Amino acid sequence: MRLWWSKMRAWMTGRAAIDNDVAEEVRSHVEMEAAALQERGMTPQAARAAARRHFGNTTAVAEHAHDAWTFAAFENLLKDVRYGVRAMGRSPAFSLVVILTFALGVGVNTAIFSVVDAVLIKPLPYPSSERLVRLGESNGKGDFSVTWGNFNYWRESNRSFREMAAGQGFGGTLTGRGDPVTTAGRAVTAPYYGLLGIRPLLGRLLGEQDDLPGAPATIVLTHPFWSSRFEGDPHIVGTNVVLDGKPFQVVGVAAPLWTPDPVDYYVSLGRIMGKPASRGRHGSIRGLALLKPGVTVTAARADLDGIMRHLAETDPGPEADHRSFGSFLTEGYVGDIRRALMVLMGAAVLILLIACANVAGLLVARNTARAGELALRKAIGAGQFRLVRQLLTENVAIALAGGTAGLAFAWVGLRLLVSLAPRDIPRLAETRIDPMVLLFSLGITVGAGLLAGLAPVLASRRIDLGSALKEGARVAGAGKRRQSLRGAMVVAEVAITLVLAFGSGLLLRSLRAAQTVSPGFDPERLLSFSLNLPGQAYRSSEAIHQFYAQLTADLRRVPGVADVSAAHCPPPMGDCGDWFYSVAGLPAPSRDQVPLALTNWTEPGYFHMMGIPLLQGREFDDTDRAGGPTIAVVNETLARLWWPHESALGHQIKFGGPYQQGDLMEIVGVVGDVRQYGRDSSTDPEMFFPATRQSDSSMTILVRAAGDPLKLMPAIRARVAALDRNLPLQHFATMDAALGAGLARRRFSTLLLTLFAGLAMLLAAVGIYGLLNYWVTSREPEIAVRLALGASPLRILRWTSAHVLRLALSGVAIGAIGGWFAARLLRDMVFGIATHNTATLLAAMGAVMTIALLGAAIPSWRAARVDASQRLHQG
Amino acid sequence: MEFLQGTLEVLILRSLQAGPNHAYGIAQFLEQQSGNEFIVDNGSLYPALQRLLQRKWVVAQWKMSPNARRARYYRLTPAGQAQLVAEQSKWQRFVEAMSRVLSPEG
Repeated sequence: MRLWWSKMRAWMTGRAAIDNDVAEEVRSHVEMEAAALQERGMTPQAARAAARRHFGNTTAVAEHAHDAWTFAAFENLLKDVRYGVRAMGRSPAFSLVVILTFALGVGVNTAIFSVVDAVLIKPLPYPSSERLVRLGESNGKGDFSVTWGNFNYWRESNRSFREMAAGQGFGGTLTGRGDPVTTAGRAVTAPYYGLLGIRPLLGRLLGEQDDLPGAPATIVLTHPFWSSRFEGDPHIVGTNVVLDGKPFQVVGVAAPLWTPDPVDYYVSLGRIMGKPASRGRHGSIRGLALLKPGVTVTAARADLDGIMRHLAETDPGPEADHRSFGSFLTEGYVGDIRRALMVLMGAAVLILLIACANVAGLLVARNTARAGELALRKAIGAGQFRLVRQLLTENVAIALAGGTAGLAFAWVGLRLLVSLAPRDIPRLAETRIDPMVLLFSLGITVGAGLLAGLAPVLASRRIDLGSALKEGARVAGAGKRRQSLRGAMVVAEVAITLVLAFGSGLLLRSLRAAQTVSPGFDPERLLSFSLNLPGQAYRSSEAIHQFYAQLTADLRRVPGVADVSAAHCPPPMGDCGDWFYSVAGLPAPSRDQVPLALTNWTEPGYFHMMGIPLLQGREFDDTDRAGGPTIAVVNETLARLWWPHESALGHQIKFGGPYQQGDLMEIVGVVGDVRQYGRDSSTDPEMFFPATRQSDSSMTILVRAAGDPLKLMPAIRARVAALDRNLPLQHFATMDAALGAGLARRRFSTLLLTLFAGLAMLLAAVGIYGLLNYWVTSREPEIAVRLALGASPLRILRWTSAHVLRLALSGVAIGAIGGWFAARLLRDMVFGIATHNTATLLAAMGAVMTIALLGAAIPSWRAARVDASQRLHQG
Repeated sequence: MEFLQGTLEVLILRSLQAGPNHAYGIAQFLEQQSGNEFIVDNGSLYPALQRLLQRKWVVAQWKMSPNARRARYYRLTPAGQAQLVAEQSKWQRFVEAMSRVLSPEG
């Protein structure tokens, strides 16, 4: 401590005095030794030289003596930084290129990382979010909803959770406030708010008393719904809102909080569910629970499984084999965007590596030019370690300058990124450059500076003092080792660029495939909108059927409408529900082997109207009525699955499978597959049933226009309002728009990866240009001699091109192998082509080779135009 | 012969027991006293002197040498004297222990 203080004081006050003392002391030391030697008979000159030699490196001695007094490391660092800044100023063009290259690399990484941080890394904004678990039931094959009965048993008997809440979707049409609007809320039990940390902004939240059966219908509005639909009415508490014709009293407004699935309001689940009844009656209830500290999900599931086993004995039922399902809330809500973001982050890191290789190449070249200076510094006593440290410090200083510029890039890039990104990426709006992101940027900047600085340091270790001082920079620096190091940098750049180009090529071709693939139906001039008839006004199946039949007939009469039909779940709505089935006449599958298929209900003429090919049999018509024979149409995938070599017609399937209630249905038709989840999706087995037999209150109406479908929209709205003016039209859009929206994520990741590949190519071209330019400069005398000896400029051109080609081909070869392996990471994102697509790889190789040759063009041209006579006369 | 780690400082203190001396003189003294077994490296000597100054075991002063040259003379302080005594006995014990181990009697 005392030592530290004396250093501190010396550093602040008498530093210069110490330096002078030591320098003078060294001088007197040498003089005394020289005098002693002179006494032994040496000439004064020889004595002085001998004394100097004997003393050793005076600069190093003085510096070491000085170090004893100072925080040597820190002071040297400052000195090196000052030196680096001066060196930067001496060659502004060079510095600008290096800073821009770093800025590009750091900027891209910072922008992508801030998205990754916001979407994937940042903890969810809930108290103890790392212990929040989603719960459901499981039959060993998949997870699904927990029944209200089972949930209540779990909540009472478990020993693993501190608290447990249940929730399920709750929707309805809001009327009495402007146009009717379809709303999406959530029915939850009281502990739900505490688990997510939801607080009231106005009034109160729903408590245990609201969960009791028979309690008055109460509702809590969420902040966005309150501010948009109710204009932030401060006196909303105490008033009533009407959902599906039923009044709910507003008791509060929740403060804004991000949730994985945003809702408009909360109502009480307990009031709706009433007393727990059968353990087998499933709604769509999911549990949300907080683990006790130190309890694992596995242990908690075992706890719940024990409860389920006990219940299976005391209260057996068809689902006695059901157990529990649980997973952390932090997992899974992100979905497939995780893969895309990780691929983009990887690509960004590759860009940074290319930037590093580029800068390393530039630095090697510049330090070659500085070989004389470095040799001089070494000769006057700078230690090897000191030189290395100085070079690294200089590079880190310049990298920091680049990193700062990179942050500016990132800031602009991030705005662009967020505006381009599909809206449905969770928490994307929270993306910003915060301390965590800054720390990341600092880390990669310093890392990149050190990495890029490593190559010139390796090269500088071989600086041969004698030749560097005597022969001048150029000869000393053009050594083979130096050149091969730069060559390796270019090979690496080309290889990485090819990996990125191949990846982006795969995504581009996938996007193209997804855009041009037939969706299985004709999306031209097609409009669709969904209706959800409130149960209050449309109680019977007959009333629902009546409404849709009337609406279809009315719309057909609208001028410009070519055809109209409706289905419960047309593409690209995806999975609106699936159910078990089994094939009559085949042995019953075991409980966990019962097949599932998507279910759908369609109006007569639906397949014809959609342009879905009818492969066998017939489609539904108006004669398929309630009370008639139970029939079904299946898609091609399902038919192939069971009857690959014969017609599916006439076979029977049992709805619900062998273990559930359900009718036997005769297959009367087989239709072509459609891309049910969107253009870039696969097809699942699907069963269709006539909506005329069993109507569903929620249907999607499809209207084929004769001309421009957008022009029909007002007329369609008017027809719907004429039938029922309290019915909101949901998802009213053209089929082209709906299919296009489904590709938003794919378009986003493809765009970014292609952008990255473009950046990589630009950097690689600059790198190759720099390398060859330098190579030509250092070989100008040789080129001049060759020209003088009769080589044609074309020959020179061929010679330089061969040099670049060799490097580029090695890079492409390595990159092709790397790309082949890296493509595996893209497997989930590739659509319509093989992941290991040779044509794409060849195209990417061609593109990268072209870029390499473009980068080589200017230096090659320069080489061919060397003026032999002038160059030779210069000597 | 190189100095063992940490021995140079105690040797400098010992050389100053004979009276104040400058760096060149200290080097000469150590080389002569060791029968030219030790070679004093200036790269070690000067930092060692600075460390001794820092710990206030020696003080330095510019003076004229007998042959009329300005030189920086180092002088032992009382603290330095005490340190030397402590180090001497430590080294004595170390040397005895070493020789007992290296050449056991009998």
